[in-house]
Amino acid sequence: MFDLLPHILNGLTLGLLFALIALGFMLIVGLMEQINLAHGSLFALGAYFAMQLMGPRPPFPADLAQSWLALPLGWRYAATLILAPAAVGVVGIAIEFCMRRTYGKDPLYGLLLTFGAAMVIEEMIRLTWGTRDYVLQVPQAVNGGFIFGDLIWSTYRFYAAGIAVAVIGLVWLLIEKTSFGATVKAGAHDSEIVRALGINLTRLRLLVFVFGTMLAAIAGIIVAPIWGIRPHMGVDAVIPAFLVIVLGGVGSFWGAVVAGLLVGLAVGLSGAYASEWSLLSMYVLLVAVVTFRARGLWGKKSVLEA
Amino acid sequence: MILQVEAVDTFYGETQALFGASLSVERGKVFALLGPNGAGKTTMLRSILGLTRPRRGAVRFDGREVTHSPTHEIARGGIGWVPDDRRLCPTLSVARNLGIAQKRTKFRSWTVKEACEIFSPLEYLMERECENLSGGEMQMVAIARALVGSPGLILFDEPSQGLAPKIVGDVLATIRRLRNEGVASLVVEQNAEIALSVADQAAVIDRGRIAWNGDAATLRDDRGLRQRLLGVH
Ligand SMILES: Nc1ncnc2c1ncn2[C@@H]1O[C@H](COP(=O)(O)OP(=O)(O)OP(=O)(O)O)[C@@H](O)[C@H]1O
Ligand SMILES: [Mg+2]
Repeated sequence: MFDLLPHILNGLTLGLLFALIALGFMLIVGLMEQINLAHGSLFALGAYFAMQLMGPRPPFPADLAQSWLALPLGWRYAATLILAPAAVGVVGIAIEFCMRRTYGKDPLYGLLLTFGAAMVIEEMIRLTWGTRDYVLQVPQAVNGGFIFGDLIWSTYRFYAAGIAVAVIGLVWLLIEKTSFGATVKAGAHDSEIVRALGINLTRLRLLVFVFGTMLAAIAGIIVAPIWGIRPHMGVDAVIPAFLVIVLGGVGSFWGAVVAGLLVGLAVGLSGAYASEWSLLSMYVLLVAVVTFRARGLWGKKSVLEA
Repeated sequence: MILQVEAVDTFYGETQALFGASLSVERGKVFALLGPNGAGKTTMLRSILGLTRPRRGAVRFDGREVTHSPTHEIARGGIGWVPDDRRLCPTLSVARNLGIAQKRTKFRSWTVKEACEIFSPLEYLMERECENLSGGEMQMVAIARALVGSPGLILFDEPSQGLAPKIVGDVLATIRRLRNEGVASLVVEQNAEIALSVADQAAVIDRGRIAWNGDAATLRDDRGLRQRLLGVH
């Protein structure tokens, strides 16, 4: 039993990251009433951008690149945690501009458009970086492991869980405790009334889309050292995120967090017994949940009816 | 004139709901738009706000043409809206529903506190979620929400609908009080008696066309005319 603990920790860490991806995804579904299938690709893009920034050939002009490489690893990493999501945010802006015409229309248009965008991003990733796996360099302080109670624990898992908790906490503050969050909720509930109150819904939607995109990118950067960086990682992330939203119910913050932890635990524990099966377990869970309990664990409205 | 609607034709898809409808509201005055179910009263308000855009005709607010302006800019010009079904955000508290509606315009500003003084019970409901309010309380919040947007004109869609007589009295008193403060109202009603009791000007709309337009007092005093236009009372 005791040797299951590291797997449980792994599961919980993954679960928090799934919840983070799901929250961005959910904010977008709520306000745009469109499912963003490119969300996973933006998550992957976050990891690739970070890898490029942390690698030996940063995407800067030569002299700037030299001073960048001269910085200590920890500084570069901290800056990357901001720069890479910001760059992915710019890609998010481009997608949102294309997506605008689908708002208020049949969700099928948005699905097709974002599916297309996902394919474009994934192919661009293959063209730019090829199909091989990359690793993301991280500072020594969060790398390695330690022994506690006869078990080897990975420091990075604790760090990843900590970052995820901190970002989820910030999202919670923003959504629940600020006027901006209240406007987003009101807009998700009734877009006409917020416009009639004088709120620029077009701008609000762009902001929320970019915010959701950046959450995905941060999750991608944090997951990268755990999963490795490969073109398919976007799909591997969007499936659990989708599962988390179906389970937790669309529009429910704590639903997403609890469902994220449950899905993460399922993946972590199946990984303990048969690691090749751990990703497959998510897909099986998704099919099972949509078949038997599409209204989610709390019986709220399903994302599928959004 | 604070609002001028000039010969608007408004459609839902291919169905025409307004046929060359015109009306004008004077600054700081109350205008009653009367008509039976399905006459096009709500459509008139949606046309003014640009939520359902008129295909032809023009809307001018405060001397500026707003026919093609985005809805949020029309609202920012100083138009408030109290929809017939209130449309509060059910999961947000009263305070939040009011907070997101606060804005400044060239018209008199109202703070949340001032808006609540009009309806004293609101003060005790600030932290209540809107889904747990009674119908009358929701109407009060909806009116206060329009007020904190600092409007020069408020569009009331059937403000008496589904409310107890006492609350209807409160709503009418509020419309009178706003008039004293210089805020104009366009009150859309099926219940002519209620609307005419506060209105300066009135119009009757029937199947998308303005059938009559004039002083509210005329309609109030002339039973025969009222009967002919509205078929009741
Ligand atoms: N969303 C819509 N789609 C299609 N037709 C509509 C829509 N809304 C209203 N209509 C039609 O437009 C006409 C005018 O409707 P409107 O809602 O403006 O009437 P109203 O005077 O407000 O009536 P009520 O007293 O029932 O609120 C009606 O014939 C109605 O069926
Ligand atoms: Mg109506």
